[in-house]
Amino acid sequence: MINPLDFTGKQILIAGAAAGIGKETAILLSRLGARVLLIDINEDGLKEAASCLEGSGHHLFCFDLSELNEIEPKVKEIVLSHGPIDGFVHCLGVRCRRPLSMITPKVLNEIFSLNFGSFLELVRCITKKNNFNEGLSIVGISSVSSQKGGMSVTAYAASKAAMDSAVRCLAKELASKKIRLNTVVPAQINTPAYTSFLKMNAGIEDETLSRQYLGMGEPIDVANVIAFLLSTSSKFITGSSIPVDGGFLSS
Amino acid sequence: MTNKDKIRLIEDALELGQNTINEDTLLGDIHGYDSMARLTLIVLCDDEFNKKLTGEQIREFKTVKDILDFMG
Amino acid sequence: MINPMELTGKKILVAGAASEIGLAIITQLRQLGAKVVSLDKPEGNHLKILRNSESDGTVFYTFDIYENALIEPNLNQIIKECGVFDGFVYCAGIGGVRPLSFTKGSFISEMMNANLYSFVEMVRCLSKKNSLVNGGSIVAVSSVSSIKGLKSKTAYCASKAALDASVRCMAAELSGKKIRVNSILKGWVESDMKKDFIKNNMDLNENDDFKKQVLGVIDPVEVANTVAFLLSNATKTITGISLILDGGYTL
Repeated sequence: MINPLDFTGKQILIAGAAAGIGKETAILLSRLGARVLLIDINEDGLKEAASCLEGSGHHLFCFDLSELNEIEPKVKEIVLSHGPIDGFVHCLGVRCRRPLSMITPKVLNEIFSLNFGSFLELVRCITKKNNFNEGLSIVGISSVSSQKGGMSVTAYAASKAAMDSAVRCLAKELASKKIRLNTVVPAQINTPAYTSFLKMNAGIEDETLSRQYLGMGEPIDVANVIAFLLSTSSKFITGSSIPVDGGFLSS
Repeated sequence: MTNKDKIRLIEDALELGQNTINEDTLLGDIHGYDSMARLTLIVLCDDEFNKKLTGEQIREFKTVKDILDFMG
Repeated sequence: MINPMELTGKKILVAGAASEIGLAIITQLRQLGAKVVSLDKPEGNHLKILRNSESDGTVFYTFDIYENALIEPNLNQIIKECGVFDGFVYCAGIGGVRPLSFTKGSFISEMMNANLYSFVEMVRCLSKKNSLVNGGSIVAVSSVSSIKGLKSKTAYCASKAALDASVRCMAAELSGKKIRVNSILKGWVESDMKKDFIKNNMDLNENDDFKKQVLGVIDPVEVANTVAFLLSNATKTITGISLILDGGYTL
């Protein structure tokens, strides 16, 4: 029997792997035979995630991805020690509720630096010559907020829309290097980030859950789609944003 | 920070005129005190006082004083 | 005869007025009966506006609109002197062509700052001080780049997509005051063709990309008309949309 999601011999870099979707993706890919390289700012979280991995050849890197200038030397170091990358998944970001009146330029910049700036800089570095293998596939985690308006999520939504747009452009720009880029577009997924997000809910009507009529999503639901997009099964898919949203966008 | 200053911060954040509220004002009586107003206060507590107020906690608060006490 | 697009008695603030499109907007709004307060950096067409402002009643303010710290104090001053507004138009912003390999943090910041942060900050200040009447209208001039993948325009496209996402969220958040927020996705405008970074990069801009606009290159007056349409009572139930004005470019 064939396994279209066999990642044996492939090396996948995951930024934001200590929790939630990032962690679940790392575990899944390890079970599919990949060597995973995990980055996160949370050392304990990284170690915990590592303890759940199957197989061997995995490595952990603990540093702050909001320090954009430090990304280039770090990527160089990683490739030097472990070889070129076959896949990259970006799973980190600030998800916060903030009314417009509290979104000052400083706050907006911080959110953009982490959510969008780190994505673009990592892509820029990984796609430099010799840092990647042919067939490189890149996946970013967007959000339904990117396409739908909502209250108190202006900064977050704008940063995700920026990511989707960048992916459309880069899919075209990097096609000649045989690099594919896509985003997954989740609605509400049961992760620690969502739990904190809920804690801040001071009663704002959140109809997202009722509109995603397949119920609350689990990290594995998103990890499965990420794995598909990283694999050769999706080699004709690029520049797209794939909803993993329990029906939300269509309802 | 004095309570007077904190009240000023709250009035500003909730777009209320100066001296429209005091410690004993009932939150429910404040004009436009809706879920967005509550969220604004949650963000204010975090930004200015580094205190994480949850949605559940703020819904228990009855007066402005409850908020001032939380701010510490 | 009725004139559903008339703007008599309405006071409109136009940010980014000292540009070809800005000038066209000011002129059209004045001809529809509006009182216009315009603002921009002290360069570009500002002298032209200053000369005309005495004769046609346009009030013109200058400050560095991309310097975020200056926005709040300057807007407060403008509101003090001019009173509340019925509409706000953001036609400021910068363009730029740069391949991914050169798209570093500082370039992204510059792009996001001019095309998103300044807009968000201005709307934040205007709505915070209740200086937009209930039932007011906000229009941001965005671009089809927001939804298309274009080579060497990653940062620009991302900034416009972020702008449109913020428009959708603001539409939700300001709906309580019946304030409408929309954007215009413009294609190639005549004035674009004169810009250096466009002329010098015709190869990158795929040389005859603008020929995709089957209805021809857009006259700035068309952009002005669409802005006026969205500001007027004719669009009382339109909010949170991105109106495509592209001569068929995205067909």
